[in-house]
Amino acid sequence: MTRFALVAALLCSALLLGACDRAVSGPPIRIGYMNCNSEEETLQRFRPLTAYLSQVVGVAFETVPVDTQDFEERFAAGEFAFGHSNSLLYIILKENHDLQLVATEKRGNFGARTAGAIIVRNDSPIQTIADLRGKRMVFGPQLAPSGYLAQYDLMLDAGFDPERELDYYAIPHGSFKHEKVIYGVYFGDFDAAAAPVLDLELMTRDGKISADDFRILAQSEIIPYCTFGARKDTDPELVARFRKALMDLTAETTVEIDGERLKVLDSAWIDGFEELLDADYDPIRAMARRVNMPPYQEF
Amino acid sequence: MLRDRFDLLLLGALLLTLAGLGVLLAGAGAGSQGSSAEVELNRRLEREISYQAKVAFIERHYRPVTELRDNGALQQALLKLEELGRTLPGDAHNALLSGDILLRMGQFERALSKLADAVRRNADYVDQASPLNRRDLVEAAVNEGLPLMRDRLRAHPDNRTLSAVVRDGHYLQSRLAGGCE
Repeated sequence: MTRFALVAALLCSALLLGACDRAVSGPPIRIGYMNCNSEEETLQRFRPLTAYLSQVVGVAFETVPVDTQDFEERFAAGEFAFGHSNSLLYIILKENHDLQLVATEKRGNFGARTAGAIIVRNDSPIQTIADLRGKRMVFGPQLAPSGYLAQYDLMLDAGFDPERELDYYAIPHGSFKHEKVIYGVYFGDFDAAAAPVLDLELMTRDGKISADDFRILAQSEIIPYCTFGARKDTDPELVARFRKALMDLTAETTVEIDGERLKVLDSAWIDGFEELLDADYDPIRAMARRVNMPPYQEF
Repeated sequence: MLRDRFDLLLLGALLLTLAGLGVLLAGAGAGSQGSSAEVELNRRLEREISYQAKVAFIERHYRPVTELRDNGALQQALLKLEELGRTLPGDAHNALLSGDILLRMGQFERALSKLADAVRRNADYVDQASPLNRRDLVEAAVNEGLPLMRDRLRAHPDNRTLSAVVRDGHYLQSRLAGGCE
């Protein structure tokens, strides 16, 4: 009798544990992930997260790497229902396609937020934005909120027109653009750089640079970081389950991919997720308006 | 009873031994009282020396951060903390200074979470008697940040991020009031 009770208890426990993961069913729902560096890297980073979401939400999801420049067009064409992109793309999709806010990625000191900084080498004679007149500057990619938009806005706000007053400015090609921007100043190829604060943090943490190598000339307001959104016609119950699965993630959550058990957040280079409000993105909207960038660009 | 001199001699020796034993026992009692007071004194001294060493270490290790902070270079100070975190990962004082700087930057959500993390790791920061006491900082974060976070949570009661921050704020409030873990 005691042995029977023990077996029954074990079976019940197994059933309860099994109930944590839903059975995956139905045709796959695609999640578009904005490429930071390359498709290969995007797949490597986000396949574990997608597998976790499939397992917990009980829907088959598929990882779709998407180039930043193609993100809106492919979203509009219905190629993916959920999207993970930078916060400026979130605003563009919200404005033009009524995207729903799901959750915001946490990474670094400011959690689900970050900032843009204009940096110079510590030994540079440049002290203010006005001193950048006639100098060489390097920016991040044009759709980067904390690598281009924020710094461009800081300069306009200081009465400095980068188009006319800088001697020259460049945007690096290929992958790891933000690191290239920072190294561009470090090795003296440029006088100043538009550096995302998060990249400065991460490179300092990794020992690639020292906090004493640079001086921060100006820093933007703190703005939301990369964001998950859902198409407006997505089943609200599915969106709620998707959000809950993201919010439930901890540093210890693992998933099996190609026979290997991986930590989901570690693989995706993410600290966790936060629930921000759409109004939290207003500072980026104001910046985009001032800088005349999408979705408010006027010709 | 005492039949001869030999008996007298034996009795004298016995009394002498007993008196000697008494003196020895009395001396040992006084000695043990002295040593327990000495142990307590040593313990206090050790604690005081350890505090002084800790305060001196913190002052030396984190001086570049506090200098940058006091000069208003707040972001640079945060970057310096990242760098120092490589030598002492998970140090409570790193979290405390992060909370301090984030509060100065007006980042109440993050400041409350960082300070709660610091106090969970080292309760000295809210102990008035400790040389590491930073109740002023924790009080400022709670007084400025918690009402704002509560208001936001009231407007969005299902928001898990806000409820986690408010929980951290309440934790700090309870520690300031003298509550335990």
